[in-house]
Order: sequence, then structure tokens, then C-alpha cells
Amino acid sequence: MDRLNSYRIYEKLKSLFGPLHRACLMTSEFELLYVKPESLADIGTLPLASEVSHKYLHLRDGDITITNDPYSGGTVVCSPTLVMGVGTRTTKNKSAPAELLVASRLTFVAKVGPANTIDDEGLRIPPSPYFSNGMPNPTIVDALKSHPLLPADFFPRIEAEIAQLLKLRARLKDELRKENFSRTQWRHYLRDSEQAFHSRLDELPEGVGTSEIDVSGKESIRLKAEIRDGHIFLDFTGTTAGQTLFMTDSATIGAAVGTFLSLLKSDIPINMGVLSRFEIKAPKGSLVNSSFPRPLYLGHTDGLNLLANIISLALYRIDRKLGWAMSGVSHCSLQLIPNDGPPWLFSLPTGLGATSSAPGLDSGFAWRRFSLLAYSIEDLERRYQIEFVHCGIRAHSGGGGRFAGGQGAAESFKILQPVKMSWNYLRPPNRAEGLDGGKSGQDAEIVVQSANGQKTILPSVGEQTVQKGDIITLLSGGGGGFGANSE
Amino acid sequence: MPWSIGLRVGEHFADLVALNKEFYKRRFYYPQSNVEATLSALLQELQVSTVAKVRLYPNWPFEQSQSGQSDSAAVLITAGFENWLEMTMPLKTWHFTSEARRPAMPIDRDLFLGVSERTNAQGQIEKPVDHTELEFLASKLQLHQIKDIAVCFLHSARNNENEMRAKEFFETKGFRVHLSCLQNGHDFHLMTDEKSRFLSTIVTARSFEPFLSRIKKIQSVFETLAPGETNLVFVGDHPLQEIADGRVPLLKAATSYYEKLSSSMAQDGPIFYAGYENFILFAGRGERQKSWPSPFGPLALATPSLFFPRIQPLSLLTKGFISPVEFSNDIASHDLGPMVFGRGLVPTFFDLVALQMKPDDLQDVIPITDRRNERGRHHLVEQLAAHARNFTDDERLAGETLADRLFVLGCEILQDEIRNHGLNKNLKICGPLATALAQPLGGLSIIDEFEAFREWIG
Repeated sequence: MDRLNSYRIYEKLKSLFGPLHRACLMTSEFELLYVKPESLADIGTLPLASEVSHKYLHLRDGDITITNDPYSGGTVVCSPTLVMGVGTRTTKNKSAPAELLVASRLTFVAKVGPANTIDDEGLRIPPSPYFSNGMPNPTIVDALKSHPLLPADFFPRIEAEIAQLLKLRARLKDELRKENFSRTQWRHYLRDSEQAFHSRLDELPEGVGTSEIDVSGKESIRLKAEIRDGHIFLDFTGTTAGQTLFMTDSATIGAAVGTFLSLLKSDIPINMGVLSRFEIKAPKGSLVNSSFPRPLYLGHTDGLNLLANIISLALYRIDRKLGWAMSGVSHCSLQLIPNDGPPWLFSLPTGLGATSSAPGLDSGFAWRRFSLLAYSIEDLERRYQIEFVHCGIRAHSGGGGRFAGGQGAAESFKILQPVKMSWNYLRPPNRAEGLDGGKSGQDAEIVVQSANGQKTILPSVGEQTVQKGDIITLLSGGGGGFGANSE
Repeated sequence: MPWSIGLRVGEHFADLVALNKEFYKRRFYYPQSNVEATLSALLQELQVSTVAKVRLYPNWPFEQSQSGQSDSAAVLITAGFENWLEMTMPLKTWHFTSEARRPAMPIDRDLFLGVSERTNAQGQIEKPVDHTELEFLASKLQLHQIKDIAVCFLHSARNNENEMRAKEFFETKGFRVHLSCLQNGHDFHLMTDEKSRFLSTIVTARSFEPFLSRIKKIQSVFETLAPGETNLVFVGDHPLQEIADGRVPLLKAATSYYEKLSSSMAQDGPIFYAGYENFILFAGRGERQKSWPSPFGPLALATPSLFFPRIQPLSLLTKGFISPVEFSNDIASHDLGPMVFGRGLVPTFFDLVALQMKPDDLQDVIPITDRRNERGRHHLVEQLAAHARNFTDDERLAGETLADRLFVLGCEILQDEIRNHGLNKNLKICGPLATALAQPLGGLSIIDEFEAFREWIG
């Protein structure tokens, strides 16, 4: 076996999973072969969803389960995950047991705003058998149909995703039969991935770096990062319990792995081979390992951005070449809830931190690959009673430096008819810091300017009805700069 | 008897067909600025003395828009939305990276100028354009020596009054004006998304001057062979003058070759166009799409249903993660060319294909045979051999073996992508690299696009 063959396996996986958006593949023995994430949380949670689903529901070939429960491998309740079994070894009178598990996640519009528990954030579905013997499970379908919080487009989209999964199942079985993708080959692929990753780690100095960040004055995250013996150790001991911010351990693991890999600037396969080099300690009860029934939307969105910043900072303190100044944290998640029609969620890009060799990207998504900005201003103005005043880059919001931090985004729109609005965004006491003398970026803000001109900066969470003539302005944070500005 | 000429022209490669009593077909390579010289020499060789009609099929606007920012085009956009398009552009890499980057906009950010105007979602003008402001903008544009202006106002597809007023004003000042409301020839049902409409307009403004300039140079070669002929040159089915006047949108004209290829060769099923400069997969069977895939995002442009596979002829082979050499998402430019041409420094997929081809397969591409340099080929194999020792724990691969395996892998990646799009059944292949790729891509039937080309000019 050789590395070209392992690379071929990786290209094959990328191609097979091309039609899916957020997905992973693992064996029924829970060896992770591939993750295609659209968020940091996906890296840790998609494999967990597969594992939990198979452990409790014992998938067979063609079975599909559904869950959105963040405490069973979900991320936020608006993103259900389907897990499908794929097997080729037929048994008498029974479908084959699953040899492979494919997880695929969809993204629906989140319910944003005040939430005391996870159930306040939407309908929570524990791992449930959804599809078997070529048909949906009527009991589960009826239970879902009757729930008032179910999104209107839920079933059509789930059906479309199941159709994609079944196509993928056929392709996987074909590849397995042709021996283009055998157990021996994927073991070598995992081994070669691990060796390649080990080689990359050997290029980094060994050492320890620490970082701590105040989340809200009452909560903080503490991290000790170490690179030693070809491994990365990330220890969150000392992190307080959550009071406003909560994450699951699987999301934390996703953030840790994703952030580290991003600093290596390569297309690195996320699989068990690479993950075997990470050891992550997230103490139970701390905000990076919260338990049911804590609400998770803020933690698994803005919170993971904050976590990525902390991880980057600690790693920078081990090796300055890994330096990536902090990126803007908050997406300013704000939802319009009209009386008729579906809600609309605004979620802004932020300024990215600068590195030691380049300025930060203006108004980008460091840790998301959704098509969140695919919306059309003209279409939104037609569908909702709003008129945009400004959509663009938030000028002068990036931190200065030899390499400037990326600028955040600014969106303003006028309300044309009273509408209910809710929001939830992180406002940490500290701005996105610069590194090595670079300056911090500006904070995020949501501002309501009433028709009489009065401006109010919204607190981090809430809901209210806004009136005709009010102008809502969302300002996401800028990234930190790198290096002192010579001027 | 006068000749009919057809010329499909890319950045560095062209296909010429000439029809009189005989039918001639030639592919040729030309340095970027000098298609006229090569063309003149070829016409002389063919003894073309008079020409009745010339049909050109250039795809430059799409290539040009990615080859650097224009310094003679600007964008006028509803004030407050100057950066909107830039923010919405997709990132270059899908994986998480601290080096996240977007492709460069075809026009520099500083040449996106806001105009205080507004049309609302119901099509009512809330703020008409103000001539005083337009005067100020005109003097600013003149200072920058701008020739082409893209006008992109919100809701102009619903009510284009403000855009039309701006056009009227700036045309009197001597600018060429391209309106977002007139993209796609008034095909309004395609205009629900302002981003694709605006991008289309911006690519048009950026590419208009260089496009016309190059076409006119080619035209001048033929004018000497058709004295007095007024409507000599067509871009696809459109007289050149209609494109110069703006009566036919530039991008629509630029897709003429793809329209013809799809309608004449892909009626029964999909085809894979294996060109020297790009690979394109056409769904065929009359399927259409509403937008053109570009690195900046979709452009509002009705075209045959097609996509560009990830592996392109000039896809670079660079240092990888698992494997010492992997296919990058970056594409080399033909200015340096593939290594087998003797100038390129980094291996490309084209190089791997060329190593599979017999020495005479490129013979008809004048003057490729001069460029296909043994030194370049040797250098390629040497470079691959240097990587080969890191591929396997057991034996060391020879450079040629590695080249073969990378070629097979590249073809496998292409096949998987074709299959993902559901286009693997009844797929045929055409284009200059068809012979080299037909078998490795699953034994595809080869069809000769020159025969279809002949019908288009007949």
C-alpha cells in the first residue's frame, strides 16, 4: 500500500460526499473515516451522533435514524442529523448489519432569543428510528407532525436528504463490491493520515501555552495547551461552570480539532488517524462540558468562535508561527418573527484576525461554511416588511497592526410594519485581541434607533416588538491585528 | 468562391474551420496578444483569398474577469451597498484555515461608488437619481480614466427608471454604460437575485473593452479579405455591431460556443468537452440553467446546463498532506504553460495527459510541436521522480510510474464527479483531449466537434 492510494481514498470520500453538506462516515466499530464539517461543532458532534444512534438502535443496512438532541450528538436543535447504516453482508431473511454509518445534517432556521433550557430552543428529538425497509416510520412521523414547533419545510427537506443518502448508500456498496474501498485500504488511509499528521506536528516546537478569557464577568474559560511527543493536549481544567454560555464536550472537541487544523493551513482529512493525536480534557460541569438541560444555541454559535480564539492564543504561545489574532466572535443573531410567514434569522460574518503574514479577511465566516449570506436583499425586502439602509463592511472595525485585522460587517434595515424580534449574541468583556503588538478589533453591537432618533444598544439576549420607522443596526466585531504598526 | 470561417478562440488556443469547396480544420496555439499573426499565417497557408462570413466564438469574458482587476471599469451601486457583493463571495477554500481568502473582485473595491438613489420592493422610486451627484461622480470617473460603468441599483429589475436615467446621463459624458436591468436581454424572470444580476453586469463592464479590442484585431485580419463587406464578423449568431452597441449582452454572446455545442451535440445525452484550456460537462437534452458558475458566485445568465469539474487541464499538482503530490484547487495560467511546453515550473494535469499521448497527437496544434519540448518533458518526469521516493514504504516508484498513477487518479476523480451529477450514462466526449481521455474515463464514445462547427458556419 502506498500514500497515493490513501490519497485516492480521501479524494474518493470527498467525491462521494460531495452532494451532502454536513456529513461524516465511520465504521460500525466507530472508526471515524471522514468528516465534512460546515461548522466547528460538526467535527465532534457528527461522529457522536452516529455512535449514539448505532449503540442504541443497532442500525442495519438502509435503516435511518433521526436526532437533533445536542446531548446525543446534535449541535443545535434546528439542525437534525440523519444516521444511516450501510451493510453488504446479507444474512438469511434479514437485512445486513451496518458495516458503515453515514451521518448527514440539515440546517433549518434556528429559534433565537431567551432560553432557560434546551427545550426552549425548539423541538428536541432524541435518536429515533425514522426510516426502515424503504419506508418512514409512521409512529415517529405522526409524533413529529403533531408538534407545533416543527418547521414548515421539515418533511420535504428530510425526504430529499434521505433520497441523497440512499443514492450514497448505493454508491458505497458499489465501491465496496468493486474493492475500490475495502477495509484494508481504509485502515492504511487512517494510518497514513496519522503518520502525515505526526510529521506535521514534528515540525512544530514542543511546549506549553495557556490562555484564559472572561466570558461575562461571572464565567471564564481557561486552557492549557501542550504539544509533546507528537500529540496535542488541550486541558480546560479551571474553566468555570456556565451561567450564560454552555457547550457540550463534543462541540468543544470539534472546536479544538478544527482550530488546530486551521492553523496548519492545509486540506487535512479529519479522521480517526488524525484525531488519535489529540487529547482533550473538558471537565464535566464546566461550560465546555455542560449537561442537560442547558440551552446551547449561543454556546454552539458565538461560543465556539470564542473558544477557537482561546485555543489559537494558547497555541500561539507555544509557537509564534501559529499566530492568528482573535477573530470577531459574535454573529449578532437576530430574528424577525412576522405574524404570517416564517421567521428570518440574521447572522453576520465577522472580521477575521490577522496572521503573521497577512491581514485578516473582512466580513468572513472563520468557522462556518453555510451559505448564510446567500440571501438576496431584494427578496428579503419583498417577503418581509423591512427596507435595508446599509449592508457592507463595518469601516474601521478591524484592529490595526503591521497586518490589520479584518473588518466586521454592518447591516441596517428600517422596519416598515411592527414586528416581533428576538436576539441572542455574545458580548464578552474583551474585544478580539491583537497579537504581538497588534490592536484589538471593535465589539459587536445591535442597536435600535427609534423613529424619534433615540438609540438603544441591545443587551445580549432579549425579545421585543419594534415599530414602524425603527432602524435596526447589526454591527459584528472586527478581528485583531498582528504586529505593531511601524507608523 | 468566398470562404466561410469559424474561429473558436480561448486565451491561448483556438480552433479554426474554413469552408469553401473543401473543409479545413486546425487547432493552434498562440501567445496571448498575437492571435492575428498566427491567424494570418494560417489563412495564407490555406490560400484563403476572400471571406464571406466569419463566426467567432470567444470565451474571454469569463477568463478575463479572473485574470486581474480592470483599471478602466467602475461600478455605480445603490449607496450603502458598496461592499455587499464582496462580502457575499464564496471563500476560495472549503476547509477551515487561518488563510481564508476570497477571489479578487473583477473591479477594485475603491471603484465601487455609491449613488443616492432608491427603488423599493414594490418598484416605487423613493429617491430618484440626482444630476448634481451624477456630475460629481462623472468627474471622479473621468479622473480615473474609466471607460465602462456597471450600474447596479436595487430593484431595477422591477423598475429600471433610475438605471435608465443614469445610463442616459453617463452616455452623454462619453462613458459606456452597462445596466443590471438589461442583463440577459430583458429576461426578467432570471433577475430575482440582485447579486447574480449585479455580478453579471460587473463582469460585462470589466471585460467589455478588452473583449472588443481583441475582436477588432481579429476582424482586421479578415477585413483585408472582404473589402466592403459590412456585416462580416459575427460572434456566434450575433453581428459584432449588436454587441458593441449593447443590443446583445456581451456574456450571452460569449456563451455562443457552449450553446452551439450543447444544442448540436448533446441533444441525446451529456457530453464532456475535453479542451486544452477547460473541461466542461454538459447535461444535454435541452436542459438549461439560470446562472453561470463563476469563482465570484453565480452570474445571471441563461445557459445550457453545465458544470466545470474540479480537475481542469491546468489543475496544479502540488505538495500534499497524505501524499507528497496532490491535485490542488489552484489552476496555472497558460502564460507559462504546462511543463511539457518547456516553460512551466509546476506539474499540471495537462502534463500527465500529454505524457499519455503519442508524440504526434499534438502535431496538428500549430506550433505546439515546436513548444512541446523534450526538456520540459524530462524536467516533469524528474520532478515527479523526486517526489516518488516518499510515496511508499516499500519500493521506490519511477517518475513515469508516478505520472501514470496520478493520471489514473485524476481520471478517477473526474469520473466520480461525473457520476455525482448523474451524467455518466450515455456520456460522450469531444475536444482536443478526447482521444487521450476517452478510454480512461470509462470508454466514452468520441464525437468530433469540428463536424458540428462546420454546420454552424455553413
